[in-house]
Amino acid sequence: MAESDFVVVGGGPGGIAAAIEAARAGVNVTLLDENERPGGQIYRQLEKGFRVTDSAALGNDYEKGLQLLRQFSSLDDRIRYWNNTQVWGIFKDRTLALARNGTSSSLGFKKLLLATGAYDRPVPFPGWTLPGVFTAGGAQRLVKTDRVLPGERILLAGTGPLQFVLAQQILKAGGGIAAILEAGDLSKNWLQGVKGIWGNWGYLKEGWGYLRQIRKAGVPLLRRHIILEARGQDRVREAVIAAVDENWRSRPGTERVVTVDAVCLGYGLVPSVELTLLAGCEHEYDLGLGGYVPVRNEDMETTVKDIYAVGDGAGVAGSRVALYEGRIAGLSVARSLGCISDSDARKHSKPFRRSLSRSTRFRKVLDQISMPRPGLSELAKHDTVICRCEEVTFGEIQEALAQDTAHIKDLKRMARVGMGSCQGRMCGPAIIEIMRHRANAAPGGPGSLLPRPPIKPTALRILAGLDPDE
Amino acid sequence: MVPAEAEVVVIGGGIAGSSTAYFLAKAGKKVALLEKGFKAGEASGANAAWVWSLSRKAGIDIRLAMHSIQIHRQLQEELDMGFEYVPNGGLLVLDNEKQVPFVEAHVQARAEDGYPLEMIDAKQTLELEPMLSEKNIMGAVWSPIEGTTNPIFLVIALNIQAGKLGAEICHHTEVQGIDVAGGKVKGVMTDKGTIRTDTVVNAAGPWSCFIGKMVGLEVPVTPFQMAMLVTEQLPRCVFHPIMGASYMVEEDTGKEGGLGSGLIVSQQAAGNLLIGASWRDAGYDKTTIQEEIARIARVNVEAMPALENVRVIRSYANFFPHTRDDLPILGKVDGIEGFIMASGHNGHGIGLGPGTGKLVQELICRGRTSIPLETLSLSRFNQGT
Repeated sequence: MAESDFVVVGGGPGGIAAAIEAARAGVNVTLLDENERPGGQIYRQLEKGFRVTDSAALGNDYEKGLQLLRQFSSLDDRIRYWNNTQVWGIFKDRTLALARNGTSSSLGFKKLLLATGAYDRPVPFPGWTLPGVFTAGGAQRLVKTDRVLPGERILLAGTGPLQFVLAQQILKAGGGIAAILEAGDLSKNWLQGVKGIWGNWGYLKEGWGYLRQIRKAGVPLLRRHIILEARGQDRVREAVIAAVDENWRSRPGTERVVTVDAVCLGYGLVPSVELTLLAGCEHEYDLGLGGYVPVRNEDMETTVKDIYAVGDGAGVAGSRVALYEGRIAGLSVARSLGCISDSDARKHSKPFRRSLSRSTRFRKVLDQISMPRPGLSELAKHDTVICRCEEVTFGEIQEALAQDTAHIKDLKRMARVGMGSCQGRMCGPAIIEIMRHRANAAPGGPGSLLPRPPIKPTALRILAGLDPDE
Repeated sequence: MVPAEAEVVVIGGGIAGSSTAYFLAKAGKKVALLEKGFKAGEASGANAAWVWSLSRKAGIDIRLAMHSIQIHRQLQEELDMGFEYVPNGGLLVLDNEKQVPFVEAHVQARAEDGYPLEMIDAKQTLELEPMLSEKNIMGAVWSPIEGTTNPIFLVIALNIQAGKLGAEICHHTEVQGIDVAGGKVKGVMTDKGTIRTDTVVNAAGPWSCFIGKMVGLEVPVTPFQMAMLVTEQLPRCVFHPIMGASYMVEEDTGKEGGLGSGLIVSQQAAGNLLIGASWRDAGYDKTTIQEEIARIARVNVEAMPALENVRVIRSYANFFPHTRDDLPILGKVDGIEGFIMASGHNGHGIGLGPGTGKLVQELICRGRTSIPLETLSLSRFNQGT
């Protein structure tokens, strides 16, 4: 069986930064990336044939990302980069199961870093399954990678700065935006937060920059508004929107109907914790970080020794936090493998720790605006489908919950939620929120749907390819 | 909360315990069912989902299986909630010469015992199950009474019905001790309080050895792991539960510390294929190992190459209560009045559970059972040792 001293899962900023720091210190690294090329979601590289003439159209982070990727590729003597590689399992004997080149293989590790990123928070409401309703991330991929617009009269509904990034990209690509709904009360909190985030002017400027462009294009920005319903037969034709209070509950009488041909939902991200859960790491619920996140020490090590987690997959906090966490973890791995001294590791990681604590303060301000409020988990009606794979409605879930079902793993047995091909990614976060707000919620929380390998749907042929005698 | 007293306390909320509680409640007994977890949380919720008799041996083994199939049919009529029981036959397929004498002997023994089976040729087999590889199949044993079910729904349905009949279903309730005085059961201590009772049913499956210890009994039941895979939902393509004959021929290699595997496959009502299986001695551990997943996938790709691109969405494993002779432990025990065993189903809990519940109810209410249980008593393990 193949082995590597340090295996990194995920080719986004966190994984790349960790690999760079460790490799610079002399560690041999293997980085496993499910994508074609390194960069993750934030530094998503354009397919060959596209030329970037205006990198601002792809976000300011893009430029910084290119620098990081150049560093990464210059260390190719120490970093083994495996693209198109799906990690489908992690097992007790410190091995990963990989799907790669149409077959399976095992990879042993001494140290493992999981930088698996995050995905768009699914928010069930009447009509959310209609064609033309996208997640913000899905729409961003269309615009950035495929250069396709999701519609001609697009409604953006959600919260937080990611929405403005998407809006700006749609505008740059020549798209029409019906309105942007921000569920939180943006301006007031931003101003209040300035005191706590004085070290992050760069961040703030970027956000305001996007806002300015959006205003200039004449796009209405409706604060404290959410989408209640998407309507249409074959696809979304109109949206019902309303003003909301501070708990994101709609104000009666403010509902109105908007004509749209696409809806992009940007209610923040949910960490991909399948691998940390499978590895047996302890998790805690922090909605500000997107949901269940692995418990970590200051070196980004989880409660399972030698397994580290960084970036959005360990708590949604954006690409800069991912970078700093990755660098800190990479140095810690290099130190514990004996490649650099304790004092060098401390010295080198000091600036990253300082930047991280500044960024964390900034994130807490964003949380005040962007963290989902209870009203968001109350939008589904009796016949709204919550689990798309098994077509389980909100009513059926309520029925099962009435039979003293306090844990989500029990609800799974009772109502088949999370048993389909999405493996609980689409329904899990919404159900956890629904269960958390119930009167008889379990004191320790509903827990998460425990993943079992393969953590992504994998063909029998690929699983069969593994030779156990190898 | 647990009731202060009950005529019968059933320990274990799996298929055996839930069936027992239902039949006792139906017979008018005041019964409490104690489950440390939730509905079908252990082996009863993670298995092949078969109601199966084809490979059962002549004698008590097949008698229990046939009786339990009758009870399944009865439950299908009686319970308000459906449980996707589809009894439309099953196959034991032969894929090498070596298996022929074993399978022929099995068929003959069953015929002599009065439970005949039918041999069919390769062509007939492929007509019934076109996904099977033409290359490997030599023929099969066909049995029209085999079926698949949804064991989770069955447990839920039994619990709901028992509740309606007045049974107390206590989840997340752990038994901490059993009060025995003068050789008689007096009560059951739990983390939620004590229940006065003179009758306890030990239906705790792989944990029944620990319940036995509470009354000073050695119950020779050990956990044994079986792992399976679940695929994405597919249009109907597998029509019956299919078992490979290697199950009967090659002895369980897993029992000597290795990894055993054999073909079993069926399709659930929702369209997912449940495919397996591998087995090994893993103690009370239900995590899978990589080799198990690979082995199951390989066995199935070989048997049904047309399914090689079907995607697996998860694996699952559980441990069932294993006994040395592969038979359950049922009935009263010597020396402790009011303590009844209903465990050791050796991976056939779903098939045998409903029948077990009925037999235990008969034993408690009438003192005799429609199938004699003497050969299944706990004391059989103490003879000649």
